[in-house]
Amino acid sequence: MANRWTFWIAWTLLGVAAIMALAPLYWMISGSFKLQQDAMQMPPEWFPKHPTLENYRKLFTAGDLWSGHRPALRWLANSLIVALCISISAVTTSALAGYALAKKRFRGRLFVFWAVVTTMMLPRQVALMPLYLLIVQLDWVDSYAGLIAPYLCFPFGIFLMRQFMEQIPDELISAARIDGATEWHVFWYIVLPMAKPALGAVAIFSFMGAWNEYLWQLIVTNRPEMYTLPVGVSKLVSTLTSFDLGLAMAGATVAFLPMLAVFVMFQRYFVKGISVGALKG
Amino acid sequence: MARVLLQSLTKRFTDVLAVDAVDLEVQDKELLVLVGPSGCGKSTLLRMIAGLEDATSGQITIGGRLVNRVASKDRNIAMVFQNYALYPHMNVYRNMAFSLQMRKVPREECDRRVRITAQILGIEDLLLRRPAQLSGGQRQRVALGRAIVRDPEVFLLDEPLSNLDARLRVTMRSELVKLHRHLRATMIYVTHDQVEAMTMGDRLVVMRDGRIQQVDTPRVVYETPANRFVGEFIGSPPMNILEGQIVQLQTGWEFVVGRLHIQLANEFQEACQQRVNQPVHLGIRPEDLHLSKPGDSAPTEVRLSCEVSVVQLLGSDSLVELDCQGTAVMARVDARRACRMGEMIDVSFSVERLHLFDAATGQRL
Repeated sequence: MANRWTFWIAWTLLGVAAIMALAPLYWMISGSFKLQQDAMQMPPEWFPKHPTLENYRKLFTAGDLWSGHRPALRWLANSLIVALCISISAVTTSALAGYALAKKRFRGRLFVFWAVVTTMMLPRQVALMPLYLLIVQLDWVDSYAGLIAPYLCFPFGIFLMRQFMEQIPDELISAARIDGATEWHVFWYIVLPMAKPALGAVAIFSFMGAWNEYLWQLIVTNRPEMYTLPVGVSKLVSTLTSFDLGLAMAGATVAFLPMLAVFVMFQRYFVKGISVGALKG
Repeated sequence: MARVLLQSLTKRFTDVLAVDAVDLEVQDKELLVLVGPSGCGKSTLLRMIAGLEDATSGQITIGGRLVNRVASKDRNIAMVFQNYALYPHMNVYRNMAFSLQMRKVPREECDRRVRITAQILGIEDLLLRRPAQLSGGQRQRVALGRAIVRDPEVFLLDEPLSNLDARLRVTMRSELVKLHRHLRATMIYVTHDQVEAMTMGDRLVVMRDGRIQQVDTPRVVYETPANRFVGEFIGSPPMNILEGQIVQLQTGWEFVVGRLHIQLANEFQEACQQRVNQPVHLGIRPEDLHLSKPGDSAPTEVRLSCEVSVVQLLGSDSLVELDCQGTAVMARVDARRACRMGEMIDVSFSVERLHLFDAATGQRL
């Protein structure tokens, strides 16, 4: 009897939590199918009475609502380019640094590791100003280099890879050396294939971080064609004389879908990667 | 020709001396077993030969070539690790072919060698399986296969059977010996298991605290241990050690411990003369103690009256713990010889089977 009650209480609590988590998503997606007058209606309209794709049409086709252009496709492409470059770079640098910190013996190894961990604890805003000044000096404002460069290395990724690679038995590396493998061969043929779950997790984390990044991208871009999707969507809302909620919701939905796809595809690695960090941390 | 020569080989880890000035010669085609307790430096010694650890000082020569500064991959050695170290993301075929691919052996030759090796080890059917899909014994074979396929000058085996269950270990022991005969290669085998060492090695090297205690054939090491440590380490159960002193009598010498007096043979005369009334250790192997009937012992035998403390039945044998006039000793006897706890029995042993060790140094006298 007690078990039955526990079961129902647990399911009720989980159900409430799930509704609370999903409600904003539902509101965003349903809102994207509403016209402005329906979206702003009070009391709110839970189910769109007159569903329409008008917001998506406006988002993706050239129009005159803003600056004479509606470059949402360009923003989407920008976001993809930036997120992919950051993700690839983060995976590469994290794997290399993680391997060195886990399996190489050199003076100051622990110091370097803790220095990396320390950078994870600093608020991002601390580095914002010096980074911006540096990017201005390099003349990288409004460029992909400016959007990508500060995120080429991913301290959490280095931490995760180091923890994962520490679990790879040293004997495997010794065996590969005796088998005739060079340092690069050991890394490429032995260590990397074994670190796939952690690589997947780093790829997802870094992609997600880059895709959802807002503050830095807002600061470092001025020209609309260099906006990323989150920046572009926010500009849609804040710069319009008439606030188009339906259009903003459509923009947010477009920004959300690729991330959902990445998460669904790599969720196996995602969970594994997180658990590795948790257990070995 | 793959003679391995170690000269004054030393390895120091910060404040620990792992291997202390070891001199050793491994003959071509010999199966040499390094045996000793955990932490005695045997694995470090093997890893130095493999090139996985740098020697602090000393020289390593393989096949007449000084290899101290030669990379592992260029020493023409193969190593089998305790945990097999099979690449988990590769199937058996790729595990075995990996070393050949790294050495850019042509694909056809590589395939031929992998298949021949698989045939020798009876693992042809497993070539497409991953290590996780193999049993312990199969993994062991694959690890051996990975070593054999390269046709190295020297095989280094680091406790390769320790992860197997007792039954499989017995089978693999004999298979390894047969394999050694078949390959006619130099093998250096590390183990902490003295049974493995005794049954497999052409010669044994007993190590302790980074130093070699004795190098000889298993029989010699067993019958004439160089010191008390070797006597106790080799043999199961370990040699009984009685700590007493030598007393001179008119008729000769006696070893005295508590109320127990043991007449010593003439072969100990020289040692006894130098150590009258001094502490010495006397060793007697449990299998050299016999439970005897009154009056049937030979003239060279010593007879003691003992009380049975504990009997452990092993199957064919029994381990009998005895209280010999206040001194505890262990005897290994035929299980069919029934004895009960608390029973008084006569124990006899040949004085020729006694071992005397110096109390201070532990060296054989």
